Amino acid sequence: MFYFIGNVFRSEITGIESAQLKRMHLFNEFNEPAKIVSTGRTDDQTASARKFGLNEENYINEFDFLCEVPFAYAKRVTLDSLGFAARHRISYHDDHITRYADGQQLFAQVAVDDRGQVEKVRYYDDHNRCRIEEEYDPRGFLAVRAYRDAGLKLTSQVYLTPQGKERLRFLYTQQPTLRLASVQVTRRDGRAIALQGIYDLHRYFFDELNKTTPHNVFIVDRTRRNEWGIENMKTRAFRLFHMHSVHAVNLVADPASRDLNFNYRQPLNNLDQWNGAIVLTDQQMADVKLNFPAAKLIKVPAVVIPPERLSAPRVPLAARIPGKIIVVARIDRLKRLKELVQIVKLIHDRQSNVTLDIWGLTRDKQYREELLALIAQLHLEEVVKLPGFTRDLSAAYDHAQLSILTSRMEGTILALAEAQSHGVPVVSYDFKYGPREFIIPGQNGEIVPIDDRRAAAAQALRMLGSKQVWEHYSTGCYAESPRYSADQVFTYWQTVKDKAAAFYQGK
Amino acid sequence: MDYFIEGTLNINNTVIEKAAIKRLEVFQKIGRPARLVLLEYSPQWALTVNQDQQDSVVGLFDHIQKAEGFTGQKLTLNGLDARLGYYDRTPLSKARTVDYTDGDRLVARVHVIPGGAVDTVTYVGAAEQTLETDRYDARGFLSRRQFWYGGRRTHEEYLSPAGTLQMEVSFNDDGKEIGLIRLIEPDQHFFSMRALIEAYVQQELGEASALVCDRRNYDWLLASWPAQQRFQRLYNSAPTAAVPEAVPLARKSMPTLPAAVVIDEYRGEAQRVVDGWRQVLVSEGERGDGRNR
Repeated sequence: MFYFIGNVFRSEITGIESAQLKRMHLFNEFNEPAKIVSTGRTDDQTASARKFGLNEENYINEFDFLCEVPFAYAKRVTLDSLGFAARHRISYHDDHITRYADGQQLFAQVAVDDRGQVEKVRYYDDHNRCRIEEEYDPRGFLAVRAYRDAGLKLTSQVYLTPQGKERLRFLYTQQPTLRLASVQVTRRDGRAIALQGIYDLHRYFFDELNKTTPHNVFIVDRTRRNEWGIENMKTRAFRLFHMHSVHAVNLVADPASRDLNFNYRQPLNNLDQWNGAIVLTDQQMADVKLNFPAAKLIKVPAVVIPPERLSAPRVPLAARIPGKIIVVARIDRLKRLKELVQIVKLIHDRQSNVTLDIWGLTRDKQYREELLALIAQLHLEEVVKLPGFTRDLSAAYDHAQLSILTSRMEGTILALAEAQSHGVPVVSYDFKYGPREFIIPGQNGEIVPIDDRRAAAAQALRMLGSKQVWEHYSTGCYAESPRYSADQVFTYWQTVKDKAAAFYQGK
Repeated sequence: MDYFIEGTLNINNTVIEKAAIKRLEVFQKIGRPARLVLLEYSPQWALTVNQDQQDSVVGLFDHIQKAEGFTGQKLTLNGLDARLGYYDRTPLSKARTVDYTDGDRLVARVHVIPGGAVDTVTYVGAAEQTLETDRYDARGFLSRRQFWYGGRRTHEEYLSPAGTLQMEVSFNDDGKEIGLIRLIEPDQHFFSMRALIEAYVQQELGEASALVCDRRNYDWLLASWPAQQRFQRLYNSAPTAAVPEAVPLARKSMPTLPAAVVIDEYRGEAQRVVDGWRQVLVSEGERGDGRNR
């Protein structure tokens, strides 16, 4: 079984979760058993996972696993089913909050969601301080009971099964500072395990998960939360970490930079604890090898162009919006979108029908404000739009003529290959990593030096200004996309599978 | 029904508690149905009362924890291994403790009482600071979990013999004063132990024929519990505060308290104790307006 280890799904996802989902679909296509595994817990994690097509067959959450919560568990828990009204006076009530009192003394406060499902119950002491808070899982059971001291500091949390059995207890301490002191696991067989913190809990979870299926391959997509747990597993497992981004900073100026990306510092410094790492491009592999010659690296492209996309009708220029540029990137300083807007300004000065849509969730609200201010300063309000996040970008790509990428670094840039698969040529800064993997200059896009706005604008104007030139590049995009077909990409995963098999055979 | 108001019974019972247990026999001899009422948490009481008398002991915590009438076997270290068996166990020390360790890391320290029953299990954190103290009932079940934060007790959980949460108690900053007592089923809450005791007496025990109070910290209950007769058991000295309508009971005559009835339950000859109680207790037929004579 392949386990893809990441964080919990939220209502909006980033490129890493998107890559996990695409990989899952790829594995399904080739009947290769795989599950997405998330550590941590949020209120809406199951609903979010469901929204992205995950289910009990292909998704495991750490807390659900340890607390024996079925993915599809569903029960109604309402004010009526709590039954407080029979014993206590309702002292306040609105659509979401109901308070119960005995005489003048507040007893409890219940919060419900729009469906009337109970979300939280708080119990109060005689000074109206909330000392006990019960958090209900949206699926309809008491999931967490939290205790606070008289100063309202969190002292412990208990995680329960839907049947009310304790499975995890987090004990906090303030010695020397406020922190998690211990995690107690109460197993189904009654045995207790005292773990030394959240990373030890992750380690325990991975070990327990590893016992459920044979010959597993753990692909760690989110290293920061999970690296320690994977490295310290007590059971035998084939373990790889996935370098979705650059392994070090300033690689453009110094390919041998030792200023390691904090996401990969731990595994890169403990390579002996891993069976290897997955890199996304040849260029990345070469750079990592400069500093870590002993690293066992396997190249696996993160991009998979689905068969329906490869067989989709090609969209001619006439069916596209003249001058439409598309960029798919979260609103984040790392994406250097202000640089992009400056390039669009240069293009717009020469070709007035140019417009830019930046699709993506906002990760950095302050940066969004800065971006909007720049757009206003350059009088591009009618030119540059930020439509937000959407799951299906097909129509947006099919209406666009061009994409421009201005990052200084990326692990791989899924949006680049996606744009090309829709016949959208890409002009990109020469950042690490991605452009040199996906762009064949003169055929399906152009690469220009980082920060050379004028070169980027010139290439864009060349493609936008000539039907013949644009059609040449667009045809090149469609023609080269099968390099990332499912069949092609799965051959890389087959290599991983072969290495795992050799590991389990003791070779 | 007659009730003897007590705090706790444990393996270190004083003569006061031992006399209260013996009093059950005395009342039985004179045909007075009586119950010894434990108002404090008493996980060892079953070790100190003969099997044939155990039905005569009732307790606030047994009631809350749904342990009334529960008869189980003591939990031994071998039994505790079912919970902590993933860890190494050191031999029993002279202080009657054993440690469960994970390599060099102390996970829990266990105290065993004479007879081999596990009494407490203290779980510690990385710097061996106490995080949790579990108390096992002498009848073999995990009865109470106490949680500590920065050296202070912050809350407690009381469990049924089946392991379900029955009551939780939150403490204020000093780790002693109670902030909230929450009963799970039925959902009730109290802000002091005294309020909880009053509710228990009122809802579960009702009016008494005779009340005997051995400890001064329950004189308030002796005064407020509806009863036909009240007895304030004295030990060596007169009470600092008399309970209205309560008859003082002394071991021997007290010049400072001439009204005290003398019954020496500690060293007195058994028949004299029986006769003494027979004389002071009002029979059903003798009851008048419900007040002490």
